[in-house]
Amino acid sequence: MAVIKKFIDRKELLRRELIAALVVTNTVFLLAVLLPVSLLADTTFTEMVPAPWIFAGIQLLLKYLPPLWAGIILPFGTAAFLISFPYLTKIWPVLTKASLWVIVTIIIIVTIVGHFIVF
Amino acid sequence: MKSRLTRRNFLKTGFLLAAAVLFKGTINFLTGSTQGDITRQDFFEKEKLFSGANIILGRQGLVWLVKDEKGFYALDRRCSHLGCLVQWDEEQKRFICPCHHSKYGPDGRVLAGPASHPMVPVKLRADRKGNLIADTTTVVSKEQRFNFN
Amino acid sequence: MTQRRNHGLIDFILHIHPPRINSKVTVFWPTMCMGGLSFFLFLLLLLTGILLMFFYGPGDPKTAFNSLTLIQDIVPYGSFIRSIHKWAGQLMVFTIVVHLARVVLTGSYRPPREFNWIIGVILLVLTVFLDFTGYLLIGDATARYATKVAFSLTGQVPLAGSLMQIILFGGNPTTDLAGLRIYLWHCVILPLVLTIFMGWHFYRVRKDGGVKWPL
Repeated sequence: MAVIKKFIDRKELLRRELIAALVVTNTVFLLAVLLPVSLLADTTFTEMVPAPWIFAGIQLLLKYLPPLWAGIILPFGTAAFLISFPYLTKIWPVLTKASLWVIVTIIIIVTIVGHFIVF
Repeated sequence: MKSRLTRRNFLKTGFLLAAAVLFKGTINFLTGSTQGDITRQDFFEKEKLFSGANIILGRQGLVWLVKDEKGFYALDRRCSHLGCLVQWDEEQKRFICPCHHSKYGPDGRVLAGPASHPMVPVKLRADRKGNLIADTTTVVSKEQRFNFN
Repeated sequence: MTQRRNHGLIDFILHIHPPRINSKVTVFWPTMCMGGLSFFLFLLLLLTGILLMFFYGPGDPKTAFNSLTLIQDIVPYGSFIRSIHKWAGQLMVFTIVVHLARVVLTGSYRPPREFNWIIGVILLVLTVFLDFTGYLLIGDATARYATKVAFSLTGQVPLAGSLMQIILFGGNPTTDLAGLRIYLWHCVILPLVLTIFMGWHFYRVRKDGGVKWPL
């Protein structure tokens, strides 16, 4: 019968970390083998240039908002909000957390729309 | 007031001086020799000018040359939105920016999309052999046309 | 025992680990190991990134693209190394975001850990910049267009816009200097800053009480 220990020691922790590292390394290797990165022929584009998925949201915003807002104020404003998040939750706990989830939802939606629908 | 060269003052002045020089030096170094506009001219061979096409891309890919009934004019290829290079769509008869889908008419005016300014018309001149050279550093008026006499 | 110990690195790795840790936080839930995995992915990225630097030609987009064609088509395992670098990069952004979401859900940003939260957000921003500059280094048409867009957006920054355009890109997105500067940001400066902040982040994790239960 396995005894469930309340605490584990340093050696056991390291051993588990090593396993996690091994799993993620092999996952990346597997991805690299199954979905190798290709190099597109360097032709001139006639249609559209999609941004990498991470920036699909910003590309979509740039299409509809002024560059200052889409490229500077909104992305860096989000980062500033994240940075001040622990301090804002002390003052307005509910409002701050609600805004965080709203922002996260907007980012996910904008990214999906930009990546899969528009570009 | 008497000034005394104490050890503290000496170190403080030395430190501030070094910091100031280093700061100024770094900023000047970083902003120093910038590569400005190196290739801002585009070239259109004589043979291409009267081959039937009304919209011709320059050899460097910097300028679109357009031919209408009044003559030639050149449009800087950079989209006025964020500087991507616009493509000519032959079917829709318009310039389309591949980055954020701004659309311009053959005359360079904005038809759709995030761009708020028209494409910039630039200066054209002919060399001795009859080829056309567009200089994107010189902006001309929208109505200006180039004609061979 | 006065036995002389020679394994400095192992000692250090042991040192940044707590002597004992609540077993509740070492199973998959609730931390999902996402912070640690981000770090492993970063190590993988460093390794493959250094390998890619043996062939990559910084400067104008054509040189860059040609060197990548060489890596992709001629160098043995080149395509594999490049694929690992790309996938590890994508995964790293993903694991950091999941890690951040986990920290919000378990309330681990609360005192005394607010400051470490700030370092964490900086790490996320740096990683996103690394991802973007890496994409610019490919030098194909897509990357050239993205460089132009990034250059224009930098110019939109109030007050410091044109100064930043000069420092970040050398003043013109189409020149060799711009390519060299992007290479510098991606391969030297950003990883260096990221490493410093990472060390700080891990140090603060232990200083603020370590990974403990309740989180």
